[in-house]
Amino acid sequence: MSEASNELRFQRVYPARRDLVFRALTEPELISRWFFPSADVTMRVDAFDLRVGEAYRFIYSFTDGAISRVTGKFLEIEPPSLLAFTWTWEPPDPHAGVETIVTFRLVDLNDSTELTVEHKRLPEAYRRIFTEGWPQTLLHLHHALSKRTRDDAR
Amino acid sequence: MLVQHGECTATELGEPFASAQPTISKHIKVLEIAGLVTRRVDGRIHRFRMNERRLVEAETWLSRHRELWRHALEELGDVLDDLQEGGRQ
Repeated sequence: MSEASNELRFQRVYPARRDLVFRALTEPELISRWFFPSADVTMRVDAFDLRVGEAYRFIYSFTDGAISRVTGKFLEIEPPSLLAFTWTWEPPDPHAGVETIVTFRLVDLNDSTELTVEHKRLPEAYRRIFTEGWPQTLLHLHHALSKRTRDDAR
Repeated sequence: MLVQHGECTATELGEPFASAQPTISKHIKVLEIAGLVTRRVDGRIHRFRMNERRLVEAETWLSRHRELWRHALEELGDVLDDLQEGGRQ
C-alpha cells in the first residue's frame, strides 16, 4: 500500500519509551517544542484540555507577522497508545473550515516506539486524487492546465 | 503550443506528456471528478478548463500539511532525545 490513499500517513520510530513519546504528544509545553512546520515559525498552545470532547488551539506565528490558528476537539485518548483529534484551521486561513482528523498510534518496538500519524477525512476533491493514484502525473497535468487558464486570464 | 486560451482538448493536453492518449483521458477524468477540471462538449470535441481555485486548494493543502508533518516529526525526535538525556542526568 502506498501513501496515495485517502490520507496523509507517516511512520517514525523513535528511540524512546512509549509513555515518553505519548507525553511529548500531550503536554502543551512539550508540544510547542516540535509541532510546527518550519524552524522560523513559532508555535504557541493557546488551549489544551486533554479530555474527550474538549478542545485545543494552536497559534502559529510567521516571520512576516502572519498568524494561523488551528483548533479541534479530542476524539479518543488512550495513553500511551492512541490519540485522535479533529483539526480545523480558523479563518482567514486558506484551509479554514475544512474539518480533518489526526490520529497518533504508538506501538512498542523493542526499546523504541513506532509512531504512526494519519491525517484524514480530507474533502472529497482531495480524497479522490489520493485514491486514484498517479499523483505526480496529475500534478503535471494541473500545471499544464493552470498555465492555460492563466494565459487565458491575461 | 502556447495557445492563448484557457480551454483545450484532450489531445492538446496530452502533447507535453509521453503517456498514451487513453492514459491522459483517464487522468483528465480523475481531475474532472475531483472538481479540478470542467468539461464542455462542443460537437464531437470535448474541451477542458481548469478550475483554478480548486486546484490551488488541493495542491496547497497537500504540500502544506505534508511539510508540516515531516518537519514536526523530525523536531519531535529532537525533543525526545533531549528528554531522554535530561532523564539520565
